[in-house]
Amino acid sequence: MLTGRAWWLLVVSVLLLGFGLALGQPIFTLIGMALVVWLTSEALLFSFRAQWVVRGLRLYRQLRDDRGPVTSLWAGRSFEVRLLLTLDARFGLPYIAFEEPTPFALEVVDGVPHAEGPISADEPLQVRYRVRAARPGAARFEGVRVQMADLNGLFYHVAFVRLEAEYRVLPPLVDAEGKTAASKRFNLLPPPGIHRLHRPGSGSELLDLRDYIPGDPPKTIAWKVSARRDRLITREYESEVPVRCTLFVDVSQSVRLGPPGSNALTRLVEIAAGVTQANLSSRDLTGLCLFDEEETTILKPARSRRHLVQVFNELADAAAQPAGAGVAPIETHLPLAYSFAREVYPELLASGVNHMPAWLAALVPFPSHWVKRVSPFGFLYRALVLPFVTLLYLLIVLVILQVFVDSFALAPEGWQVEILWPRGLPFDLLSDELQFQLLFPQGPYLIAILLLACLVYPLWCALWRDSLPLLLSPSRRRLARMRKQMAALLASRYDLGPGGLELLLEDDNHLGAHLERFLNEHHVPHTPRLFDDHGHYLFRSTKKLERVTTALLRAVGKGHDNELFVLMVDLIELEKDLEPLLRAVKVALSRHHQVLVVIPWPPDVEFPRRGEEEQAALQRSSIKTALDVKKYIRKLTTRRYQKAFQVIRKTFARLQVPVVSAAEGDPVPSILDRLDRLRGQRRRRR
Amino acid sequence: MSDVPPVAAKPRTDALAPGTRFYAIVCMVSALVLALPLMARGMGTDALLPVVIGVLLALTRWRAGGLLFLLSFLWLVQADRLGVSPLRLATGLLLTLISLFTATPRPIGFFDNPFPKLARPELMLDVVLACAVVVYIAAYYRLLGVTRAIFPIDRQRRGPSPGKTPSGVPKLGPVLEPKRSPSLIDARELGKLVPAAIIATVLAQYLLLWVQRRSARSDLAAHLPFGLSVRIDDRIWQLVVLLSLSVLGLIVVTSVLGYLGLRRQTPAEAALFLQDQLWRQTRREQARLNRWLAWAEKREARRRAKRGE
Repeated sequence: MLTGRAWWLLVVSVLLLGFGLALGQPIFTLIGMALVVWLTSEALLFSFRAQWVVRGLRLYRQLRDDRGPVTSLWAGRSFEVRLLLTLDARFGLPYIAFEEPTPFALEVVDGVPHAEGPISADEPLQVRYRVRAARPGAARFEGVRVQMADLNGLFYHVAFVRLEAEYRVLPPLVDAEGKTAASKRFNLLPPPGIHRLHRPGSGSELLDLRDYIPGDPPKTIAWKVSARRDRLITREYESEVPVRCTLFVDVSQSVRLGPPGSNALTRLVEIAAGVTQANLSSRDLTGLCLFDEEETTILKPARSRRHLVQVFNELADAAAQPAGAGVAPIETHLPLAYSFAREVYPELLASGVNHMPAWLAALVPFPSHWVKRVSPFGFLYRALVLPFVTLLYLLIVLVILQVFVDSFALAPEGWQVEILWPRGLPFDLLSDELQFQLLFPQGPYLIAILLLACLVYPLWCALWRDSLPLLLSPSRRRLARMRKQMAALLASRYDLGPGGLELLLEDDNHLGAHLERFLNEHHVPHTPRLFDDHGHYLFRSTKKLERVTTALLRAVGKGHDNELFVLMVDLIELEKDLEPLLRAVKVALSRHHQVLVVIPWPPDVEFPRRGEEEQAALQRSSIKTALDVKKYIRKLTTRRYQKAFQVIRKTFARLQVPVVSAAEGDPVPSILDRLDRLRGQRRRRR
Repeated sequence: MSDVPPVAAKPRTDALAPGTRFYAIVCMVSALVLALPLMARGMGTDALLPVVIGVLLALTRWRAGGLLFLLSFLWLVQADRLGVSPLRLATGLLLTLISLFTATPRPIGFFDNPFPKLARPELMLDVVLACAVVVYIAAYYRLLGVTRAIFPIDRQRRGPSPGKTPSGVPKLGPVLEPKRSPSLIDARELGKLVPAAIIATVLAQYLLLWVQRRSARSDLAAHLPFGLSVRIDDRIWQLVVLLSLSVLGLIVVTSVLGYLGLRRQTPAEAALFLQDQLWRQTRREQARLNRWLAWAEKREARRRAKRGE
């Protein structure tokens, strides 16, 4: 609570007071005493405000657009955030500064989320600023961080006024062609009764004129046109039966990799949203199936506005999901989580409720050596140091024995034993002529000393093995303190029970899992672990293939004629396990449905341009060991992705199913084109 | 939500902002005021030393300025004890230092002044002096709060990165100094500061007068066995009394505030506090159990990996 300024002032004042009293200088004495009394009164007043008054702070937040308060946001648009901080207490605070941590999914485009000044019951503080979400997902507001100080800057207190709120960020609105709409809001749906349906059917609107085919009803013959052309011409009318399209969107862990808003899942969500909106403008039905390793969410094809909102909500919720492997690297996640917790949960990291004794951080490692994997350097350290400290220990024990014997006088004659210290050994620290003469103490004393030495020896080893590296490394001590405080916070937050804190201190896997959970709940971007201890890729899952296969077969079973199934699924790591999915696709094709596959592509991996795949294969042998390991690994990864994509494309090409990449141009027109072809197929079949 | 107008977008933060000038002037005025009791004691032009230092510090706004200002009194008192002017004392010390490193002869030393002007207590003058010092220190720190930082500087909070190093690593931005906005300064703050300084000084004076009446013989007479006398220097005894009172007061205040703090905890804080207490009491036993559990889990994981699961 005291700042450095206050500590210095207090020390100097006390010194002035002390010197004044000791040397009999009344000026020093009075100045020192006056400063101490003044400091004390300021401290008491500040403590009262920090303990009592600050608890009365209340926060109100409202998000608005041009038309008023909103409960959801739209990607690509800006919204105004209004914050009002009030004080529900009899006394005021002379100076506070509060700041709202901007959600990671939003960026501030105007204003600052910061305000300062005095606050009282009659004088609240207000701030307004504008934010914008670039990508669909979710934006989580935690609250505001309040810093309080006296006017002199001698005392300081931090609090967090919590007001958690999560807002969906819905995908951007597009037009009927799947392109992002302008700022003016157009009517995406045509007025009731007017349909832009290009399929022939039994409607009342003329669609096209064609040659007469035997079997056409005579009432459809256009006589005037037939007379002009001197052959029979038939009228075709628009159909009122729309085309159905079902989107299967992969929301598994593998597509969530990457920064939120810049990963493959975001692109899939944008494509799905664009297709849905474009279809709805044509009054076609669109269904949605979201699947991952664990569950499947299905929305049956529909074309109402309410269905559009439901689809958008599901897509936004899916886009907000972070990647998680279940195991997290402690070295990166612990400091990140700690920094975040310091901002958002300062009261739970205060030393009064979450204390880590300084001596513990300096002497006891977490986790203990039993469970911690030893690094090569640590192994070398132990191999070199432990024998040395063992010999040192023996020497110390011998010296203690010698001192013990000297202090207890000599043993009776006949009980003396001389030990000649061999010459030439490297441990002969004294001169060659000098010999150790040890007089072994009698019975119980000997046993007691030796027993004590045996009991203390493990502690001695532990001191050198574990404590000395901690004592010499401030960063390790800092990590130990972070670990303890975060373990306490997580154990309390997730109700791990009385032993939960110690469990998280000793077990890296449990701590990593809970750290990841904590970061994901608060939407904090982090890099998950990609490979386990044995080098297996953690984001490869065949379970999602089973799910999408089941969902596809179900959709085929419940489907109508000539539907389009768009599979937006990450198959890059699964190119050898496609057989079940291929069988389901064959079933769909056999029922005269159409299937299109969209492969999500990581934004930072280069997509091969057409015609370059073969060149890339030829250049495989030309890759030499690069000096820059990062570049070499990136090349390998890119090559791997490109090769896998080619394999998948060829596999599906055998079934005449087109495969496009989400990074290759704009897949939305491809999907809409497929739908148009379906309308044309119906016409030809008739 | 009420339609309250927003806070001013961008207040002036330069050195000439009205709020900054206000506290600079308060510092200078209080520095001038404290010269009066020194002059009344017969210090003459020597009384201007803390004034000059105070005014200069108000213009330069060094972080250690408050402490330097207090040390200037030390200088003044020491010079008075030696019967020389502060400037003469500084010159003498400098020459002595030079003579230590060179072969030049040491200058003539100083002698104790048998009639120091600042050694005798003058009740009213001392109170005015101390009050002016307290006002100066408070105003100086408030000035620093506006021009330097009012909150402790957090080196992890930085401004936007200015660019990248040649190796591509982003450079660290400048450390943010959280200042108080000068537009928030109100002249009424002085109306609270001066009475507080006066009350603190008067209380300090009363306390000192009480402490200075303490002597070991009279205070301990009722508690010592008959015939036993205690010879403790009065000054030492007064220090002991003051220290004991401070510690006792600190214990009482800390206990009361700590208890009130515990009463005002939220459920989350209380749960964490209890968990922490349990951990501190049973840490060793829990560590022993959990080490075995963690070791067993790792062993099982290794076995599963060998089996290829």
